[in-house]
Amino acid sequence: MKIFAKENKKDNGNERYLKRRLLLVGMLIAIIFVLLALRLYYLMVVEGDYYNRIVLSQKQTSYTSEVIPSRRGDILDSDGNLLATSIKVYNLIIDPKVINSYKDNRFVNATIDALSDVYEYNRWELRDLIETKKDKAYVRYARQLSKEEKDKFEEYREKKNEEYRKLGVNDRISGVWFEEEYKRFYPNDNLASNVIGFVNNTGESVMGLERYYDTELSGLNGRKYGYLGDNFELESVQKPAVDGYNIVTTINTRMQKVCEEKLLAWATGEIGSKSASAIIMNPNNGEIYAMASTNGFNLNDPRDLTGIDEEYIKEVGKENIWFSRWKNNCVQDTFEPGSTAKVVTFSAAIDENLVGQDATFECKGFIELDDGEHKWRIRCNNRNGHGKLSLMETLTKSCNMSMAELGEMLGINSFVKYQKTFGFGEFTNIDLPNEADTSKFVYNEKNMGRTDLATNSFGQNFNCTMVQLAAAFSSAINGGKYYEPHLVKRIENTSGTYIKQIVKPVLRKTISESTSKYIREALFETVETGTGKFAQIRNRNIGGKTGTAEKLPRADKNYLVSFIGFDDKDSPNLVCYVVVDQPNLEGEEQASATFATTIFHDIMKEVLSGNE
Amino acid sequence: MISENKRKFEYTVFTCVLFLAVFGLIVLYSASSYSANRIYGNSYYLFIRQVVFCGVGFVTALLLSFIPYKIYSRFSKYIFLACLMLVVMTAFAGRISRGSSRWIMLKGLIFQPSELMKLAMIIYLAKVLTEIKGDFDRKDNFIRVIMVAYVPTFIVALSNLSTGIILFIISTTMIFIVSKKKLIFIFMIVLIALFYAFAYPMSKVLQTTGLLKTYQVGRIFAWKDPENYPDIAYQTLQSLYAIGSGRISGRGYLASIQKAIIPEAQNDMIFAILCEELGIVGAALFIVLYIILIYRILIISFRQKNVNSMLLTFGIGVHIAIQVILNIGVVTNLLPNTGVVLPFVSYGGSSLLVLFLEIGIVMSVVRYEEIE
Repeated sequence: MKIFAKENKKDNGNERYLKRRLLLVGMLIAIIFVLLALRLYYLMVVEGDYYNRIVLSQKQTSYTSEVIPSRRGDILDSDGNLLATSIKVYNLIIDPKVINSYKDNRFVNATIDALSDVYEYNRWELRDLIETKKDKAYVRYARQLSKEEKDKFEEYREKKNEEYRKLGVNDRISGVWFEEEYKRFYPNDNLASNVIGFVNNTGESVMGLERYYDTELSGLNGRKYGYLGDNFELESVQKPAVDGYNIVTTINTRMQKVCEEKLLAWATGEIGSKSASAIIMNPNNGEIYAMASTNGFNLNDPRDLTGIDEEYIKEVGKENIWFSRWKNNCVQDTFEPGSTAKVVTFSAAIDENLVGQDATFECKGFIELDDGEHKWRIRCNNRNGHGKLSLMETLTKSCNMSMAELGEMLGINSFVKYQKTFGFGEFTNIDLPNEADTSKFVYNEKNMGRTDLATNSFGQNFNCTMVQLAAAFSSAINGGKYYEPHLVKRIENTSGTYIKQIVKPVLRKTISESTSKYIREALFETVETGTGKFAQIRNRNIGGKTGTAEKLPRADKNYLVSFIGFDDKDSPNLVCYVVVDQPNLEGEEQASATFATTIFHDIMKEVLSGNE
Repeated sequence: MISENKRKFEYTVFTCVLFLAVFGLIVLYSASSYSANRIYGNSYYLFIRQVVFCGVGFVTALLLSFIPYKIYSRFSKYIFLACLMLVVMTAFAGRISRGSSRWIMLKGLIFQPSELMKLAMIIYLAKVLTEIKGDFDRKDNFIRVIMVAYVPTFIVALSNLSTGIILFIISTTMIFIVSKKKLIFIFMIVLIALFYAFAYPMSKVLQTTGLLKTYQVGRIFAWKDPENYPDIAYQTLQSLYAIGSGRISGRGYLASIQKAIIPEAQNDMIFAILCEELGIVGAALFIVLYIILIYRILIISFRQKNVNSMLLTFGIGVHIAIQVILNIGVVTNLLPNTGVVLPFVSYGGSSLLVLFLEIGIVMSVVRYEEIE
């Protein structure tokens, strides 16, 4: 103590010096504090609102956590069997933030062990992921696990954690959870694929009923909102998901199967064709029972192209092949109907009372037309002429010349009116997407010439879709009532309560009851004695009409052959329309309606035998 | 000799620390509750531990204030050497935490010897500097000072850069007080200013040559260019957002949004949560308390007639000041992100205990002050 006292006296100058330096440091500290205060003022007062907005926007993204998926409704056939359904699957979510939350790594090894034991995931990959993404709370590691796979892990976790607890070690399996999701599943794979359509992995409906009824089928996703409660726990509110409605279609799975089998038999048979399609519908209410094409695909794997030549895929392009397979020929393709459309001309002429049932016609094999400048001949399907024909025989023998004559009798205005009444050139408004617009493929009063009238009368020189012709034909035989063709009869909620019953009323009257009765008679005769003999089914009074149309360009000599018929003569309740596009034969050999008629026969025989 | 009843109790320092610790605990509860609940399943877990640390700290400080500082000044050499040994030990065998070894297990308690090193160095350096009486020209004096002032600094800096920096600043300012030299210090200030200005390009070079670990220079990248280093800069950016969003009156106590997403919100980043919840008003309250505390300690140092006690209190004052400056500098992104705790507020037992020891020493200096 003495030493220090002595020192102080000695070094009075030194003391002042020390204090000056001390003061200097004190001032430096003071200046720095002022700078800090200025910085805080700048951040909090000047820029405060800007930062506050960032914080609030971050809050929104970090706390509005989970989506609760809604379930897409089922698509059912008319008997309530599943055509399309949604099954719950689980995504495996890893939360590296939780896994790394202890310094002693108590979650890391246990969790990696569990994942690799149960799912045989690669340990190193997992370890790497948990390390590199340690700030992330959400890593979707695997998609669409089944319930069994999910349960397997959860049971393992419970058992193993219990073991750890008993052993007295801190290791726990943690930071793994499952996120629910729905996956679309089609139990019948290929059945009615072009009608049902499918849903992409992203949940977007691509075509068919899935697309058309997307609003009804898709529900409303729910949400789980998280926020920080007063006690600092992440609390959550749930807004439950609303599931989509189920739709009950008019599709009869049995008939659909029959159609697809018979078409397949044809397509894989001796001859085959570019494509072939068939529709079965109820003429008395427009319900479509079956709608099939040879271009179907597996709804559960719509992009699968196995079995298709690689070279061909390269040449045409994947997308083009997909679209050609996904397309619904029955509503998206247009073609010249050929003789099947004679039913329209025939009905119109009779309905207008232009000919008596005892009228006769003379076919010399051609007619000559002239528009004042040019003169030309149109040939009948029978080059030598049908000779003398009764009114009914003009249809049963499918005489082009007589049809042209009937068309001539009707005149352009009346013919166009009937075409329109029967729905040609109009949308049928069938409940499927992408229905072909045929308004440009028919004539109107202004642009139709005499030749056009003649060719239209026997079904050429205008285009229609299969579903248009089937609907028109139905009205010709059902007493003249035109029904909108449709595929869905009911929309229900998940508990089976009706949301909407779809009944299509008679849209318009095409022809009279008595005309219709005569048409049925004539079509029955066509099958009994005329061009449709191959359609005959024992003990059944089948009526129908063949059709052969040369495709454009005519020089290619390609044909589309068809048959439309019904069961039965006195009380029609089934209409079936079969179209065979370009049989795999050379030129005019294709032009045989027999191919279509035979398919019709095979389908109807089996359908009717099962109906009893 | 002065009679016992005239011995003074240092009210200002004690009251300031009391307020800081109590307000600090209030802030700490809010800042720590979220992660305490998430990790320990109990939102009071970290708070209760901190309450215990504070309680032990106050008792220790009061007890220490009754021991004349000269007693431990006498043993300061051995305390210093013991601490140095611990620091060396942890550098090799300490527990690994956040990529660098800073911790040591002592009877089940995790302790950070580098914190204690600060105090040991202050006490011993004050004694050594007093003994050499500012005579650095003698070679043995010079070596002695360098050994005390910079050897621990260097060893600590190897594994814990921020504590190394703090040790460096404390010892250098203490030497500055007694040194007669000017140029070397002006040179140092210029060097630090240059470093502040050119840290970014320099660290790029140091990183490529491998002289600094990536996790150390990464913070400098994140400091200057946070947008391009969003992973490393995450903590900095989020704490900036938190501070700014507090605006004038704050979001309200317990209402912080950022505490859920700022890593270690209760630790190095607690000041950001404080600003977010209590606004610039709350921040000003704490800063004023720090200023009063530091001012008071420096005033005590200033009035010392005895060089040893003057340097001792001065070192302690500088230590507290530099921690406050570095911590607030980091959360406001004026400085690169290094882990410096905010005195009396941040969670952590080692730092808190050492700070209370220092307060005890200041109070002891006042109590046993020589009055002429």
